[in-house]
Formats: sequence, C-alpha cells, structure tokens
Amino acid sequence: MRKRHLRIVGAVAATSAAGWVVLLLGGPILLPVICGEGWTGVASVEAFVAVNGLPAVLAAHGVMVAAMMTPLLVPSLLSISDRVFARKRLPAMLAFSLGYAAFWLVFGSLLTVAHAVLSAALPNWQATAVATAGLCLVWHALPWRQRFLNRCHVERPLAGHGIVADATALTHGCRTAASCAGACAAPMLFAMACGPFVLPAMLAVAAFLWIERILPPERPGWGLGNHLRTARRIGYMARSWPRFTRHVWQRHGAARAHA
Amino acid sequence: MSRVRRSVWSEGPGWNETLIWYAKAVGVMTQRPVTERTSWRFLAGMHGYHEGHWRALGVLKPEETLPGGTELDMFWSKCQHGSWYFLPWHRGYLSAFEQIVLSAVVEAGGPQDWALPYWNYSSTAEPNARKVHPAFTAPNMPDGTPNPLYTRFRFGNSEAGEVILSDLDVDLGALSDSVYSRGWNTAGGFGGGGSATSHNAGQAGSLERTPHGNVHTAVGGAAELPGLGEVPGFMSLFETAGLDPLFWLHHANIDRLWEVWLKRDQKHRNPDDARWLGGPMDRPFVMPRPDGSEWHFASAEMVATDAPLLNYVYDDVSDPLVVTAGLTEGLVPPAHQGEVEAVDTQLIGTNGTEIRLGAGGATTEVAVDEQVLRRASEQMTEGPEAAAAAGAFFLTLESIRGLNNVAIYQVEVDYGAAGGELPSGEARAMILGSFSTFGLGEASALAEGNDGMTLTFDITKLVQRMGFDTEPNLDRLRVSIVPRSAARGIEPPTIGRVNIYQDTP
Repeated sequence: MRKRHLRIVGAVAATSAAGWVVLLLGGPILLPVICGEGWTGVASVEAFVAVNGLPAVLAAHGVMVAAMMTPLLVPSLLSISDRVFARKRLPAMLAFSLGYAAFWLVFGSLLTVAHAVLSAALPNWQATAVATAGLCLVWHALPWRQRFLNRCHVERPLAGHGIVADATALTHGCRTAASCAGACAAPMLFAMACGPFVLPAMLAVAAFLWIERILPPERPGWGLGNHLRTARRIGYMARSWPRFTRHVWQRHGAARAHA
Repeated sequence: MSRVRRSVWSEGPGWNETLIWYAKAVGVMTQRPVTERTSWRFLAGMHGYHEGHWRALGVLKPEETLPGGTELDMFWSKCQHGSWYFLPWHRGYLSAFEQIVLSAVVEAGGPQDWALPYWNYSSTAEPNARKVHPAFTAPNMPDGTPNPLYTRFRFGNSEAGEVILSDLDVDLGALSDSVYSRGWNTAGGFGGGGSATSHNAGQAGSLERTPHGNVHTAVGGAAELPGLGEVPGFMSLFETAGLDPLFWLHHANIDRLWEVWLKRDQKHRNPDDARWLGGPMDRPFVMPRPDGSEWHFASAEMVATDAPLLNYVYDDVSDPLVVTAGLTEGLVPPAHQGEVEAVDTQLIGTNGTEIRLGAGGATTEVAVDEQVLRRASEQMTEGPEAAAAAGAFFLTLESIRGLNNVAIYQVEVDYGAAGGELPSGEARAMILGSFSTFGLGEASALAEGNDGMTLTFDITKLVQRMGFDTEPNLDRLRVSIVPRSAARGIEPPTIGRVNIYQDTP
C-alpha cells in the first residue's frame, strides 16, 4: 500500500475511533438526541429542537456519522486521492467528505424523526425494536436495497481543475451518501430502537456495514440470498485470513532483510 | 510429462487429429444436459449467461431449466474482467475445460495427451494466421456429419460476414508493459488493475484490451436475424462467448501471451501481493473436474502451467517483438519487481469533462501539467538511465459506459507544435492503439455497482518524441477516438474522463 494511502486510512481510523470514544463517554447526553428520546411525534419537532438546540442535534449526528460511517469512505477517498492532481488531493477529499457528511446530517435527523414517530406509536422500546427489525428484514429482501449498496461502489469521474473539481467531489460525496443512506437506513433505525443497548447495537450495525462495504457488489435479487452469500464470504475470509497475514509478514521480513 | 498446446495452424488448413478429436468431444458435451457440470452449456454459463437471450437463440429449449440456485451461485457468470484476476481466472477456466474435453476424447478412444490448440492471430510467420481456421467455418466434418465446431452465431466484422483482423486488432504492444498491475484506481498494467472479484467492470490490463477484446468483437460481430432483430455473435458478449468453440482457442492464445510476457524479460513478474496470490479474499475460484466434483483454486496456483494441477506447456513462447521492453523498467528496483504499487502514479492531465462517441467518434483536448511533461520529455533524450528515471506516461479512458458491445475504436493523440520539425521526421500525431467495447453493457450496469470500463494506453514514446521536438506544444494533447466499425442504432458510448498519468518512483 502506498504511504499516502496509509495516511488516509490512518486519518479515517482515528476519526472513527474518536467518534466512538465521544459516543461512549457522552452517551447519556448524545444518544437521547440521536434517537429522539422524549419526542412524541412530528407535531413537537419544534419543541424538540427548542429543547436540544439545532447545533446539538447536528453535532450529535455528526459524532454518529464520524463513528459509524467514516470507515465506509476509505475506498472512495483512496480512489479520489489517486484520480486528482496532487495539489487537489486534500481539497477534493475534504469536499467529498463534506458532501457526504452534509447529506447524512440531514438524513440522520430524518431517521431521528422516524424513530420518534415509531416510538410514540408503540408501547415500549422492545416493540419498536421488533418493528424496526421486521422493517430491516423486509427492506433487505428487496432488490432495491442491494442496488443502493452496489451504488456505494461507484467511483464517479472527477473534474481536474479549479472550483469545478471541488464541486464534482462534493456532488460525488452527496451521491455516495444517498446510496449509503438507502443501504444503511433500516439497520440504523433498528440500532436506534434498541433502548438501553443502543451503543452496542450501533457498533454491531457499523461492523456489519463495514464488512458489506469491503465485499464486492452482488447482482440485485429478491429474498435474503445475498445475505446468505455475505455470511458465506465472511466465513471464507475468516478461514483464509491467516494465509494473507502470513504472506504480508513474510513480505515485511523480506523488505527489512533487503534494507 | 506435460501436454503441449500447439498453434491451430501448425498442421495446416485441413482437419487434423487434434481438431477432429476436439470436434468429437464438443459433440459429446453439447448433448449433455445443461444442468450437468461437464456439459458444453454449463461450462459456457460459467463465463456468463442471460436466460432470455439463451432461450431466444435456442441455446436453451423451452422445456429445459437452468441449474439450481446454489449451482448458479457457485459456478455461473464468474468470468473475471477489468481486473488483475482476468488472467488467473481464465487460466483455471481453460484448464478445467481442457481436462473435461480430454476426458471425453479419451473416453471416445482418442489420445491421452490431447491438448487444446491456440489461435496465434498475431503470428507473422504463418500467412493464414489472422483467418479463422477452416475447421471452424465448415458446416460439416470430413465424414459429412454436422461439425460441432461450426456455429451460425459467428458473424465477423465485415459485410460478407468474414472475420478480418487488422494490425491494430492483433497488436502485441501489451507485451511491452513492464508492470503486471499498477494498483487500484488509475492505470491498469499488463494484467489489470487491483480489484476484488470483478465480473464485468474496472481497469482492464493492456492484454485484456488488445488483442483480447478486439478479437472477441471482430469474431462475434452482430447481424440482423429474422424474428430476432440485431443479434450479437456468441463471441461478442460475456453471456454467450463460451458457446463458440473458437472462444477456447482465442483464450488459449491469451493465456500463452501471459507466458510470453513473463519469459521475454526477467524483470516481468507476476504480482507479489497476497491479495492477488491468495485471492480473491472473499471466495475461492471454483471449477468442475471431469468427474463433476469441485476444484477450488487461488491465483497462486495458476502461475506454473507445468505444475501437476495444470500440466501443460506451449510449443512457442518466443518473443514476437523486436523492440526491447519499455522505458520504465529502471523505476522499479529489482527487490520490488512484482510489487504492486512499487511506483506511485500521479495525475498530470485531464480533459475534465465527459465525451460522447458519436458516429464519427469524438475529439477532446487534455490539459496537461506542462512543466512535468517538459522536464520528462527533455530527460528522455539524455539516455536510457535518465529516461527510466523520468517515468512512464499513460493515457486512460476512464469510465467508458454504454450499451453497444460490438464496436471497435482507434485512439489517436496529437500534441501539435508552434514550429520546427522532429529530426527523425516522425509525425506528431500517433495512433496509440485500439479498443473494443466487449462487455461494455455489463460494465455499465450502475445498479450492479459498475462504473464502466477504464482502459490504459502507454504514451511514453510520445513523450519521448516531444523531447526531440524543437517547439512542442506541451500544455494540451488532442485525443481522438475514431470508430473502426459501422455505427449501430444504439445510444453511443460515453467516456467519463480522458486522463494522463505519470509513473513516479
């Protein structure tokens, strides 16, 4: 891996880790805002915002996006860094991340609304969790969900010069976020509905999404066949992992010996 | 002792033992039900399939059903294109096919050492090299029975339905590519860009582009058929390519050229990267054995053709090029030969916009970092070592998208000049090569996560030529994509970007 790629991966990992630490330490304050706790429906949106403050709502979602979603951006960021002029690398990556984050702040807030409405309609968090799990199951059995997931892999052409280059990166970020939202919305809603277990649920959902993003696209289809394939592929990767790591260490040893 | 794959023309234009036994075995395999792993259609489906298309063409009869879901998932539509797995996957595929054919040949009383012939269309020693061998065009075998090697879905690329391969179609410039893979996102290399499993999109290697893609399109072609409209030939689509018996000889030649590339220069190495050697990471490649059992393999098991698993060699892996390998080799120190991303690749020019390839093709201007180009082009005039240090230059056609799978284009580049002349008298315009749109439809399926095909052309020689020019215009290159086949009534392809990259140490 190229050194500049390693730097990007390192920066993303640090951002995600920081997000999780903040979520862990600030959970009692942040998680109710993210999940819309105490919010009884659309009619009280203004009241909710008035209590928490718009900056707090956006900040809470920003932390959630940083923790859960940034690792999903690694392939796109590496691709962008390779496909723009050296002097445009940082601006283009920042523009892409900005577009992605902006979309998710808005979409994340909509998820909060959806969760609040569901919570208000159902007797307790357990019922909400079951309902969102059902929703998840249905959405994941439809071909459109796989289409959204597949589109996360699409790396769009970028303009090379001037402000247009940043604008195309920004748009690319928004479009990637839109695809990502379609693929991730249902499991994220489920995580929000897990009551006292929101944080571990968010971590599990994030891990699931990261693994899905690593795997290559699948042909969209009806049913849960693609998920069974994903499970088989995870099993295969776990079994074959030692031979990859062994090779990497052998290479590392050879390079040191050569040096 | 390993079996020997020989040129299909090595015994002349008539039927010979190898072809007669091949035809007999194909005849046996086509009679097997599509659900049987060793049947002709099952093996073809492993490359790709489209049920509706297969039924329309009569490949599948109305009463026949496809193999079950698990079989389909494990075996079918698994060909690897636009990827560094293109060569190892097809080697395994060819080997599985060859062993199944051999088994049928032996069962019918044929030779134990039967081996798949190859079609060396680039040969300059064989006058008929570019023609399809008559054993594949004759409707009947010598004994008057129908010839299983003949198919009516091989339309060629001429009005008369013949296959006419030009110099550009069979060009072996790919053999000069010094690196197997340049990594993930920019230029391909000889064997293709780094990737996860990739059925249909990504960065094709230079060998996959030409002659591989061109020959597919030139042989398959397309034709208007009564009741069916315009039908692409078998070889023109991933979904039908394996149904043409000639497909296997074409790929045997591509496989042979991999061996030629490795042997023509000791610096040419396969990737020394765990993701390629042990890959793919998320699944094994799976092929059927002659007894129908599964054979799982990774790329590392495909590097030695004479190993017991594969057990074949080619009769000719001599270097067909007179020129020596490219200018870039000094960039990669011996300890890092084979290492993917041993050199960094930087963007130095782009046209910044999408272009549409109309009936007359398209021309676009690529704005280039003039300083980089000037420094490198001057350095290249200072001898081989300085030239090597200057790095290699590539033009990429990024995210080619469209539905026309049966077109061939030629790529030209011209840098112009304010005055003066090249001392050598060489032109400032240069034909970089050609490409076909084989697989373009599948590569453009956004819903399947495909962002089109990306193709790479080496322009290092052009940059070197600039160094000898007295007043070259270095801030922009004019790139023309010119169609070499008639326009079809299908929406023209688009090219997302035309970019210039430099390999830098």
